[in-house]
Amino acid sequence: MTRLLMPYNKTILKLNIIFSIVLTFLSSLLFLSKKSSHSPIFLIIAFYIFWIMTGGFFLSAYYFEITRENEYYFYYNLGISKVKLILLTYSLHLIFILPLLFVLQYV
Amino acid sequence: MSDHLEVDSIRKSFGDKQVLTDIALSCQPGDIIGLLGRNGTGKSTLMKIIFGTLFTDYKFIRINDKILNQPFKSKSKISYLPQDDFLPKNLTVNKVVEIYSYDFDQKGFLEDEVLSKVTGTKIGNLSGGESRYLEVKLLLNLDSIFVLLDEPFNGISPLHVELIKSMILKEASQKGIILTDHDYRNVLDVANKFYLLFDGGLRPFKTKQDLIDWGYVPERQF
Repeated sequence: MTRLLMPYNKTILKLNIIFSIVLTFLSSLLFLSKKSSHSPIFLIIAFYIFWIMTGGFFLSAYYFEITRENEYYFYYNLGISKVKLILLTYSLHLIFILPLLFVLQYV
Repeated sequence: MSDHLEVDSIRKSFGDKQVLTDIALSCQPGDIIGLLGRNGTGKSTLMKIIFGTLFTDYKFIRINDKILNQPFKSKSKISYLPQDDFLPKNLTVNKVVEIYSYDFDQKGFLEDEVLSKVTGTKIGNLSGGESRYLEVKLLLNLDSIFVLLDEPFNGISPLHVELIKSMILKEASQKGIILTDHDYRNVLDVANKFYLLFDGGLRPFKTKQDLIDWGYVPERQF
């Protein structure tokens, strides 16, 4: 099953990385100047993880929806619905952020 | 028991406009059902409803005595070629075939006069004819019993049209195929059952004269 999802997963992940970098940059501008008990690096990584799993993912899925909607038929013909595709891809993103969560403990 | 797709009571409206009114259709392996109709009569809408990707309040779809709300989710039941290209443009032909080839022999699939020349090419760099040929061939080679083809001949060269027609005729012995295209001559060439979508209803027809009588083609056309 994972093999069938990979083209969608790779596309969404690439978009998500870009969107999340932009969102992290904007968040950092807003929040890094405020006093915090955490180091700036910790906050930047935490922001990045947060955006990857929320706004970045949502924006990527939405961008795919409006620009490449017909490609969903590639997956429909394999018996994979849109909801299933998005949920499974989201799960795969959890694996992607695991190393970042690990790094977060040491900064 | 032979495989059987039954469609009944399909209704669909967009706003105030009723596009489909109590559509009923039956398809079995060996059938090539040609579906004709003017622009906006609901051919693609009907196919998407049968496939299960377009919602409608009223529909009854049964495959082999099993009622299905979204038939595409049932493996090996139905596949659908949409009007527009659906293969990811950033993948190569090889990769697409590799993903779809859980159902068939990948090497044999690529050994034909069209695909053998483009195996490493990205989908986005294929010509319209090559891309459509690949899409049709992929879907006809899946082990689904029923195949819905929405404009398989749209905008492609005569050579690719003939190759696609040959594939459809070859696969029809094992599959039920429903196809629609504005190039009605090609539809008439390959189909063995014919319907015209007209005024929201599905009307079976047998002769070209019926198409003239119902105003689908002008009289001088034949």
